[in-house]
Amino acid sequence: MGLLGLAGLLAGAVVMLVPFVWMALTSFKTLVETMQVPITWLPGQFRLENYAEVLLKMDFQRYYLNTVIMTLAVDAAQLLTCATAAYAFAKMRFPGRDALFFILLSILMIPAQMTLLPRYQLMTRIGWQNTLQGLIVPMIPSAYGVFFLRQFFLALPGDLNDAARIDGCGHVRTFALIDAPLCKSALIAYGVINTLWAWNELLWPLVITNSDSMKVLSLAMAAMQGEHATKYHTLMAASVMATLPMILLFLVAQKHYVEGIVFTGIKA
Amino acid sequence: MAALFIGPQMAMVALFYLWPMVYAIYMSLTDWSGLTAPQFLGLENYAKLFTSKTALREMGNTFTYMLGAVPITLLLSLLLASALNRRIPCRGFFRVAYFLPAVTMPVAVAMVWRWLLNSKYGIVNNALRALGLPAPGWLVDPNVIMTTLVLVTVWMRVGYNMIILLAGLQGIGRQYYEAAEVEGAGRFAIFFRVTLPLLSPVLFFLLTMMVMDALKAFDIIFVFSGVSSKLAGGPLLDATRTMVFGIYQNGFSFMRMGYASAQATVLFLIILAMTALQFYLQKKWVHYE
Repeated sequence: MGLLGLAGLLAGAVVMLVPFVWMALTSFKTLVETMQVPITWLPGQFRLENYAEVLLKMDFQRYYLNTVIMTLAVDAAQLLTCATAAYAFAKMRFPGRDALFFILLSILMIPAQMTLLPRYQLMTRIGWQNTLQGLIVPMIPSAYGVFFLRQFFLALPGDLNDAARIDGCGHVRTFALIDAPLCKSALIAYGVINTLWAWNELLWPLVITNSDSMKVLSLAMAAMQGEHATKYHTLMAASVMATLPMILLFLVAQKHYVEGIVFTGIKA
Repeated sequence: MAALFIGPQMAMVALFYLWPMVYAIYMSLTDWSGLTAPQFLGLENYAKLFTSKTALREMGNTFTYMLGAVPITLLLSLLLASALNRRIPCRGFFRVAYFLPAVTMPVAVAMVWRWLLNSKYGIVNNALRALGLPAPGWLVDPNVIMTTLVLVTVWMRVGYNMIILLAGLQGIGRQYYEAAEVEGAGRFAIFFRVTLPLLSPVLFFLLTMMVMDALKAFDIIFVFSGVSSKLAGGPLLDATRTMVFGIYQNGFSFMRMGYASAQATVLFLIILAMTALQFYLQKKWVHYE
């Protein structure tokens, strides 16, 4: 590739990264500094007060806690139930297995938006609107998760399970002690994909919660733009806090995550 | 034993996907505020939907957004993937840089972009003015806002598609390129006759997924024009309101659950039709080994 191509690639990378750099720098500025023309890049001094203000005055602690609880709960429950179902579809024989799996696959076609209103109605009916369980439980089912993990269980050699059976291992122990550990990287990959999705989700929290104390980060951020539309130094501090955990997670689990999304793209 | 393994997940899928799907279709045939008992209407909601200016505008906007965002993202990510598939310095850095937007919260990055694109204090327009170029009202001009949304979407999505295409490129066997070189094919011939056909299953997958995602667009519209107009309407919102935005607004702001369900059903049918169309068209261009 020529020098021109490399320069283009670099320019593109700058366009990708500038918003993040700008977000981080602005988050330390004063309100006056954010509105200076011509623009100044660096803050006069790095004000950590912006972060304190967002965390304490705007109650970001609460939104953080809600988001962490929601993400971890959805993740744990979804991974466990999807993995067991995926194992059963891949390794167990039972009547109606293929029919059930076909139904599951057809569900991949249904957009979540189509089921939004009835899901909301159901939650209201049982009194779960504006509760943590109402927020979390409907996010747990994932036909996609079962499908994704099943592919990995299918790829495991069958004689391992046969040997376990001969040694007197039931399905629970075979799953927990042999097959699940062998699929560790697939489980991590799916866990990371799922964490990002749950952490960033907006529509379901927007619909199901209505009090300030139940807000998650995405919702709080959306609301802040309406109320504090001009206080960009604090808005950027909030953005940094909302995005940084996922950026770190991505950097740490990059290899697994990329393998996971590549797998879905290539095998599909 | 099998019931224990599949039970929890299947029960939840049935409760939160299958049943709601059926129920949504039933709701779409009624007039229902969610508070009183639903009144059966037949197809009246659908008739209203296809004569309502707002609903038709939502369908139009959704398609405009899709027709803008999908081809640009796909072309750009293909270009990036082929560039990064060569031996170039700092490949790892480029991969992470382009991918970063894909892992960050759409609501948060939308917020950053709104500041970058602010007509007075934003760096984009300040840079454009410094270069003597026109500085459009990215966020305030109803004629420009859709372009803004498309560009921000491309920025958010391009890295994700690039990674998948990159993996696809790396999966193409050396022997194809060697054979082409022996035959004396030039670079462009190799790209169009070897790379593109062998990559077409991956391109097909991405195209299908991107079309689906674009038809379901919500977050970015909600943040860019929904919140700022307090959901009340106005030319900015009218220029960008999408079908999912309409479902949200009718269902939860106006409490027109039946009407919103009809909209959701239409969206589902459109997604289904678009997917079926792509599966039909794939025979013409997707090449399976």
